[in-house]
Amino acid sequence: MQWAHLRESLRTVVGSEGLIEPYEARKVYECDGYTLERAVPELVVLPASTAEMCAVVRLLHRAGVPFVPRGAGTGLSGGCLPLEAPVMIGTSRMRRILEIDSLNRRVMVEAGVANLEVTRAVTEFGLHYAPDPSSQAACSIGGNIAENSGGPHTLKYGVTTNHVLGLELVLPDGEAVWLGGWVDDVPGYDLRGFVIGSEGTCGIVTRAILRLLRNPEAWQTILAVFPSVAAATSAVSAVIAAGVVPAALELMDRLIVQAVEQAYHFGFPADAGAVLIAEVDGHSAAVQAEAEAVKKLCLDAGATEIRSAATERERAELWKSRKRAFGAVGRLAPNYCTQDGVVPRTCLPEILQRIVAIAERYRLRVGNVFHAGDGNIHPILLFDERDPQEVRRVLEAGREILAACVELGGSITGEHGVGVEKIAEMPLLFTPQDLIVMQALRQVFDPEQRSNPGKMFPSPGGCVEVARPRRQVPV
Amino acid sequence: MALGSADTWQHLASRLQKGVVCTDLSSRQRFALGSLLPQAVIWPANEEEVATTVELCAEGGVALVAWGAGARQRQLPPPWRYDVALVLSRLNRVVAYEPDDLTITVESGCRWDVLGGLLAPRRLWIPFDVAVPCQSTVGGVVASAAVGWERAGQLCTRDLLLGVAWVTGHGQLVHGGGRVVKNVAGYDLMRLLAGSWGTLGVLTQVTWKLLPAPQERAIGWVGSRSLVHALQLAMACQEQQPLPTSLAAVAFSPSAGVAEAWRVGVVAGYSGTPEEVRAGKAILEAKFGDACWLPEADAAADLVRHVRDFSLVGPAQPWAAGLRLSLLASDLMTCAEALATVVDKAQASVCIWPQRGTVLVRFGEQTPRTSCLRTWLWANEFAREHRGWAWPELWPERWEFESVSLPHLYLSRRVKEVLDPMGILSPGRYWRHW
Repeated sequence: MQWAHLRESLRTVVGSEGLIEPYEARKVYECDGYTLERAVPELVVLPASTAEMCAVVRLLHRAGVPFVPRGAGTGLSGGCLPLEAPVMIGTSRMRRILEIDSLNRRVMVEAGVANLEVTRAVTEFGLHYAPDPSSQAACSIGGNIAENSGGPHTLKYGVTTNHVLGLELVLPDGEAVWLGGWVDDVPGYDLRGFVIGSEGTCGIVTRAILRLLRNPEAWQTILAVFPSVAAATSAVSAVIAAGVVPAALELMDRLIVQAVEQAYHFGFPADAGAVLIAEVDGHSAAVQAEAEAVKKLCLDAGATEIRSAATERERAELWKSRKRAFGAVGRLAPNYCTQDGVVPRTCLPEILQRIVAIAERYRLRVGNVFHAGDGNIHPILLFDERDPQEVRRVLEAGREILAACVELGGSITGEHGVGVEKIAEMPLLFTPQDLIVMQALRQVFDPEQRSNPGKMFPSPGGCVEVARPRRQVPV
Repeated sequence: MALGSADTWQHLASRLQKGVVCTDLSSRQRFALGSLLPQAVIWPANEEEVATTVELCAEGGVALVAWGAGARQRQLPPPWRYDVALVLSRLNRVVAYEPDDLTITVESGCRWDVLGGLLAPRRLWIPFDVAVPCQSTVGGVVASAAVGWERAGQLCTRDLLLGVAWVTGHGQLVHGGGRVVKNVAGYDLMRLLAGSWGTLGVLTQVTWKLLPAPQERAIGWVGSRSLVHALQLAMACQEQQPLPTSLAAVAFSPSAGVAEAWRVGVVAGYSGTPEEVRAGKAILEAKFGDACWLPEADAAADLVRHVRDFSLVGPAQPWAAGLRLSLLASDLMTCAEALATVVDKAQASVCIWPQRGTVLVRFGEQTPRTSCLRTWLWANEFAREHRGWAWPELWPERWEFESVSLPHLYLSRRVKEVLDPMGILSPGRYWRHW
């Protein structure tokens, strides 16, 4: 099928409003939150329903054209970068909440619905959707499923895979299949669980049935100010070792605290070496005792100040400070690159020391804002993309940080996914045999590797070859 | 290597340590499945020996069934081919225990009660309560994706797996996940393997996420006049926080071996901080003045054991056959009302976990086959009409998962072909023809 013919066939399916052709309009889709690599898709298609999605994918299948699925484009690993596929398929027109079953605490949504919209839609029933990535106001459920997204409250409540009961997947040949369902247990292999976190390499998720949680009866949100990151991480270890599992345990270092304070004026002490946000929730009888235990452990670890949110508004402000941290980083440098390593929680002090050493060696400024309770670090490497040498140093430093995480027994990604960013690091974590088996399983869903090609797995040429061959930052 | 010949076992024995391969009748009889006896029993000592065994079996087309402690083997029908019992009880080492990181990696043959004993001194646990823990291994729990009544509404095996090492049907040792509590690198192979009943590979190591053990626990009993009434009481327990951490409405048949006083009613457990448990007990006592609290060490513990072990069927249990329904909570009452008449006729016992929407129906030896069949037909139809699923457990005949859609079935078959191309891993046990 010729390109022009394919384009017209796609237009027939989705209409002109579902086809983005002008270069300027397509340029919006050249990258996600990982901006070190860019590529403008040749065509962007936006189906408005599962039927349209199936028809679009079937046309591409017949034409032998690879495609890249895209949610809201808030990913941080280049997962929706159109590098080896000319067509991008977005879910931004699939934004309907199809059914709310408050009695059974379930909701069925289309893939393009924003994460926060789900919670807003069920708030009146005293329910919420637990995974809460920092980008939750914008990021889509489909994207969350592709990346198996987390967020601050995953410490207690788990990540996306713990809250998606069923999903509709459009396979790369255009056939739609439901995996999982409305109930907790479904017979057969857990293909639903396999697809969640597969980064669009198995097809495109179009609808999902989500589990909702009751809002906790009580909560306490605590802000502890520490003179140093080391003191704050020792408090984290003490809390976990004491048998307390807070709903969230988030840490920001001095650089980030200062940026957040300058941008939003939350009233953080200017001399804070680090702040820890801890939230405990549950039954009121237990929350008070757990909150007191957390406060005491923080003080024992050297906290110089403890604050508690007394009202829902104050709590929201505290969380706003955490979730806006990435936005505030824009004040520190023109560009930044966020890493997503994970280490065993007891290794947090060591990995943070290593990050400092790596940053010094590469002459980079690094801020840290991360899910301390999970050992999921987010070092933010600041740079100016107009300086190619600095860009190169950022890439190298990032690789060293991830290698250090693996060396300490951790992982290269806790919630952002592999995408294109961490392909070269996959062999650090998995043996060649592991990767062969994973890619063989991918072919069950996508025998011709047309759905999101070039993501997640190193090419047979070896990791050095695939390390950064396609970077398109201006140099 | 000729399939199943004496040469086969000699060849295997030459590649493994002395005493690992047994072909004597008494050893083989211990691992019979239905009327099938394996031709050899193999006790590998490490994962390399597991890989070697599976590789050689694949080369010769020798069908094998991986064994833990055997408690769950009879949940499924026998395989249609069974040459080797691959017994993993010697793989029982703790590979890495990091209590401060709340993780532990153990070999798959580690017994569940031993693991629990190891975690207890640091007040840690894997927060669900599997049936017959002293006859269960880590591998068996994962392979069957076991769910216990404790925390049934919140957590299951799949939610707590951080990493696995396993041998594919080619005999290749493969890893998935890792040893940290959050990790999205690569595909989630843990979820794929959990509940695959050994048909996709042989588990050798499992890394678990641990949680602090509850400081206190209390289990209460409220007697009831019927299953429907018991379910009503159980539902009422869920109206106020703290929610019970374990909850079951039970109706045991007279032949189930349960004391008359405990035959029909609600078992509700509260665990957590002392404050939470106190609040939970106050709720139960306020709602039901006749609630009684079960001390762990008297005859009442027998009731808790019955509820915990209810999910198992097979010769070691009082049940000869069973079926399971997974439903939405809002449909449980309708289901219980319909079941009340069905089970009386079939002399069945029923246990409902309202927090997970699980309905377990169990039949004794005396239940006529026609009654079992009638109940299964009804359950299948009911589940289909109510967005749920029903499937038989220890059914006399082989079954297929009729409720699974054809595309799902096709994808599942392709997964099986990728991971077990020779079809040697428990052939026909989970899927009828492969």
